[in-house]
Amino acid sequence: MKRAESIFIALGLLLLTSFGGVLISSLIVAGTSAQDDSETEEFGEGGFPDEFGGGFEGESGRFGDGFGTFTLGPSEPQQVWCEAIYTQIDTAELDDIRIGGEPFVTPVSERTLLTPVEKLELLHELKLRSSFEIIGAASVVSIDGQCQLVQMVEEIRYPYTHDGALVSNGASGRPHYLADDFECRDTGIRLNWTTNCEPGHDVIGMLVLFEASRLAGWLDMGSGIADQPLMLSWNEMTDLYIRDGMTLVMTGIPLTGFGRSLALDTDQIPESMGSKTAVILISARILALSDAGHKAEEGIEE
Amino acid sequence: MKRIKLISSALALMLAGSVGGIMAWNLVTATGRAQDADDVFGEGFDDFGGFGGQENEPEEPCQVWCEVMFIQIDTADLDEIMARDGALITSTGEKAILTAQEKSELLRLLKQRQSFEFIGTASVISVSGQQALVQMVEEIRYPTEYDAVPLEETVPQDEDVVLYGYGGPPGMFDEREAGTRLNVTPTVSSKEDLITLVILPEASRLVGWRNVGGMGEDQPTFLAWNVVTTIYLRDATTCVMTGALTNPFGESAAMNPGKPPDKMGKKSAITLVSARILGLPANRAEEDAE
Repeated sequence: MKRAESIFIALGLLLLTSFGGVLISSLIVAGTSAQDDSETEEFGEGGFPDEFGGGFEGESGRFGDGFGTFTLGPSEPQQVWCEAIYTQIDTAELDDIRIGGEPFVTPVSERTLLTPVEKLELLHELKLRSSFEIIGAASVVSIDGQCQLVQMVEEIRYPYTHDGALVSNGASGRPHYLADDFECRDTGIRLNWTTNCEPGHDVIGMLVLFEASRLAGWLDMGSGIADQPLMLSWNEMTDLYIRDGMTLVMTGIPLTGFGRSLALDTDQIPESMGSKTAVILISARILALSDAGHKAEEGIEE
Repeated sequence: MKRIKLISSALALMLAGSVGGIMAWNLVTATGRAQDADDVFGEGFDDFGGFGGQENEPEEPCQVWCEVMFIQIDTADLDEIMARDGALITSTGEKAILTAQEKSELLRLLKQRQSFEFIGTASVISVSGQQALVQMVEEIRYPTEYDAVPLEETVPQDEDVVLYGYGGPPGMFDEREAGTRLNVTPTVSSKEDLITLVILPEASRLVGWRNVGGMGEDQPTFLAWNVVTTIYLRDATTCVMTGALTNPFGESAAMNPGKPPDKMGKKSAITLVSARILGLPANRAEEDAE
């Protein structure tokens, strides 16, 4: 809960500064149990902070509240294409990759800013490696300043509280405590994004919440308690600037690769620890409306 | 076939477990209003002005056709399409907006691939400034609370412990709609052929029921693909949004807990959103008469 609260406060501060300063905070979490309710509060069902439109909750009114105030953007209509990609690759293989003839990984750090051509080159090089995996990716187009969300998820329901009563008849034939309340956790790809562009400038301010999560399995809690889900999740929450058309690259070495669980696969962990590197690509491009108009006219002429 | 099986098994489970499921096709637009729209579609409808106001209506009344397509395809196939010269879909955002012809060409290229699959599509026509909703869904009810009633038997070695069982139906139910859903508010600018779309499409699917409590407390698992965004489109253009799926849409991790993870990102997701300003029917009638 403390973590969730601190994140909420941080988000509030980010919005208050309104991209006024360079403040980058990123968070990568691997192997997080669903029982950590702060995860659910961060990105779970209905869990987006109010600052991002909040209120994606309720079954009938899903996504209802947060998008109520629709306002036109700047006088010059502007919209932005954004993309986020989560990937992982064997650390050893990443060391061999070269971009534009230069090593991608240098003694100081990796390349962090790529042009569109360099991005394509990096993706091409990564895809040539057998260990490369795209964990998830999402792109979305939105009017500048408007909150947006794209998600491709599995809604997993699990028992959250138990009644004090033991029940005897059941599939297992053993006495169990009765599960009397259930929670839902969305796992998959989730991208929540708000941009802030100054008309006439090619710099895009972005507030990004990106999550890739997966159900790794169900944990036997014993003592008649219902199994609990074990979720893996990589989250990134950041506030950054990017030039039009460019791609930011962030890397990190998780304890284990995405898809591996510390809780379910304890024997294998020492061998694989640190062997994978996470590579995160975030791109943005301002879409010129005039181009779209010309294209439409050309299409009609053709 | 797989989907039919899933739906059949889901329906059978619903009936067996006293869980109600209703297939529904709903269409609500400004041109054909439903009196109980708020009841059916929840509170979110009011947030966009609902069906009451005409404030955003331009001077020249017009209406807009809007369409959304959710597509899944093998990432390898998509990479091949992207690698072509003059590719109609890129990973750098240059082709985020397509003309009508480019959309047709892209769909033709995608459909040539065996892995191409429509997850859901929907289109709707609405007066500018008015919200429209079309949904083709299965309304699935599921229990959220269970009541226990005492059984006659007790545990012999500990007489203080009374065993309970399910003596009646679950205490409370909730409902989730699964299927294809398009909620859109198009607004046409009176100056240009510019359409502003507030759009909330969803494609979702029930993948099964899982016993999560060990005592028959079945809970449904859904897959959902949602986009919530506000975009500008010029008349007759299409917005393309891509992504990569951790698991293919249709595969459930919750229903296959023992299954080791396959290589992730093998499937890619494409969302197409199109809009076109429609001329008034009266004008068309005059043209026909001429």
